[in-house]
Amino acid sequence: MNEPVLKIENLSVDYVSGETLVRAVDRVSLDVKPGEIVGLAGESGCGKTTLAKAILRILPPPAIITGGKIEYGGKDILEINEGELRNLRWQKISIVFQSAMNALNPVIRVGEQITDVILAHKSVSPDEAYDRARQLLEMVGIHPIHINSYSHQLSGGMRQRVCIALALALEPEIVIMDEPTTALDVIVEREILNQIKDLQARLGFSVIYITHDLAHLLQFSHRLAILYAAHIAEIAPTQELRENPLHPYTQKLMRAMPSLAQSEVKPETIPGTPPSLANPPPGCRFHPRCDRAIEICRREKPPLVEKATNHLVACHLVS
Amino acid sequence: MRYILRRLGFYLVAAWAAVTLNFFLPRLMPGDPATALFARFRGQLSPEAMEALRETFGLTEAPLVKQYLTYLGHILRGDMGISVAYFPSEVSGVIATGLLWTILIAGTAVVVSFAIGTTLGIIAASRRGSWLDNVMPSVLIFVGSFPYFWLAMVVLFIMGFTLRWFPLGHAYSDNLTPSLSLEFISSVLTHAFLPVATVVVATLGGWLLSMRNNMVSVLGSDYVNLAKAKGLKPARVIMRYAARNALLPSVTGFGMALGYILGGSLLTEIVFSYPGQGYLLVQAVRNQDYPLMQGIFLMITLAVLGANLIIDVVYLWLDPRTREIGR
Repeated sequence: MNEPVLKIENLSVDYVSGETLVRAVDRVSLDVKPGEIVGLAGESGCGKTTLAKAILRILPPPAIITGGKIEYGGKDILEINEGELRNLRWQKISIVFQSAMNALNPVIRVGEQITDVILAHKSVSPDEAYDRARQLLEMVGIHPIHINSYSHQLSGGMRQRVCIALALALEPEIVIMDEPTTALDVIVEREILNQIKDLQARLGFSVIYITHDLAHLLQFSHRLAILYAAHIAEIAPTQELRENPLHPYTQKLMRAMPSLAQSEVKPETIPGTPPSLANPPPGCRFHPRCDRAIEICRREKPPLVEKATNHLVACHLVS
Repeated sequence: MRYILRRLGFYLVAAWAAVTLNFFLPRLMPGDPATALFARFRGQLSPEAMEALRETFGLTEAPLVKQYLTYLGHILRGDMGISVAYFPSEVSGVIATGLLWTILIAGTAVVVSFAIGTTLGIIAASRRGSWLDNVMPSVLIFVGSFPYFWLAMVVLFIMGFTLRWFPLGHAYSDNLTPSLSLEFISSVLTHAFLPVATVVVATLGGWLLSMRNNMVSVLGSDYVNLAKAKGLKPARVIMRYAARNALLPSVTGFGMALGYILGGSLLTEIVFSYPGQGYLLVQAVRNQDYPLMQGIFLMITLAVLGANLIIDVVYLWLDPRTREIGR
């Protein structure tokens, strides 16, 4: 397999709350290969979005990166200076936010929001930038006339397409998609997912796709990481994970999905709630909700070990 | 456009209501201007002259409705009657001079204070947690919370009376006649400096704090975060994405402040003996000068309405979302 374009190593992010630190991402390692769609799934509050924002160093103030490395192009993104960081942002790595409703500036036109990023990074004339912006809108199926629209004049789905067009404006190597379809209805969601898949196949960028919806990722990602309470529980190629989930949490997630083939099989729920990150349980963080927990699970944190080729899992039962 | 017309209609109705109230209020108060004027002349006025005066002030024995219609007609022609305090000048002329001075000092003060306060607010918010952000707002709010007249009097005492850097009162030196000469203009500027400066200092903190707080909440928004992720220059992120949005609530405040210029500069003008609208109002009350009072109240009301109309229009231009409602 070819070299990864992005290598996250032991990344930790904490939120400062008074005197204490709440660890939202705990020593997470993940790499992304060229042209690969890496899925990142987990429940609300497990650190998915925090991880995504850490990659571009756009975490809001109470969050601080407390350890680890994010390697891109032989450099650690966490170490580079402001100028290098500005160059890297959007040209190399771009992001699509969860809430397209709020991701666009409400008082300036869509066109200006696409062209300003082109003009900031490329030496082109404003006219050329506008031509490019029109092409980008057309590429995501929006009539170029909307270059003069404000975001409130567009529907939710159109706004999210604008955000996707925006993310592709500089043909970045990696696009981070943080629940890009959460705010949309299922039909628009389906259209946009197909569009992302098409564009990815055509342009060949890598995607880090974050969602709480495992069903999406199973049909659409190449590799899949399951996050639970700031830790990676399991990473495997999607096919492998679907056929052979090893972590009890992953297995329960799979059984929680409704099945079209066997409609009489009721989806199961996972009892309990995810732990508070301010006061996580000792040992394996999943043990209070795990019906197969054994004594060691309560004491020791399971290491992430490779059980099969590229299939890593953090569970005492497996190792 | 239809939106603006609709607003305009609303303001016309409001103006009519103000004009009507303005007619009835003084008539509900005890005393009448002709009697007051009669008292001023210490009884040296013949009853015929007195009757003529009443007529000039519109205080005829005619029924109220007729008086009201006459009054409306006069207002529409810009005729607000004869001033008692500045007899026999016309009220419109007296107000026009006062208006000019008030707009000069209070208008300048509001605009300067808004501009500086808002800029400082942007700087404080974009350097959140720095000494600038920690110290500046508290100091300015501290200064701003002194009673204004006290602050103004202290400043006048120190800089005007003790140090003699600035004149003690009036709009320009008594030995000058108004002209466009350099001497006259510089005299006007030195006379205006203290009134303007004290108002700016007293109100700066409010503008700073409201802009800073708007900025802090906008800086946490997704679109500002996305602008950062786009690798735009920090100045562009701050100005075009954050400040451009944070400005909207402040503009509303600015419009209200503009409207209150005429009524609000009363204390300034009394402390600095500045011959503006507020000073005139005090004179009018002292002399039971109803026509002048009515004229000033009317101007204050119209100023508030006018400022609101301007802000409505500016808002259409600043916030595209309001244009939709207008259609």
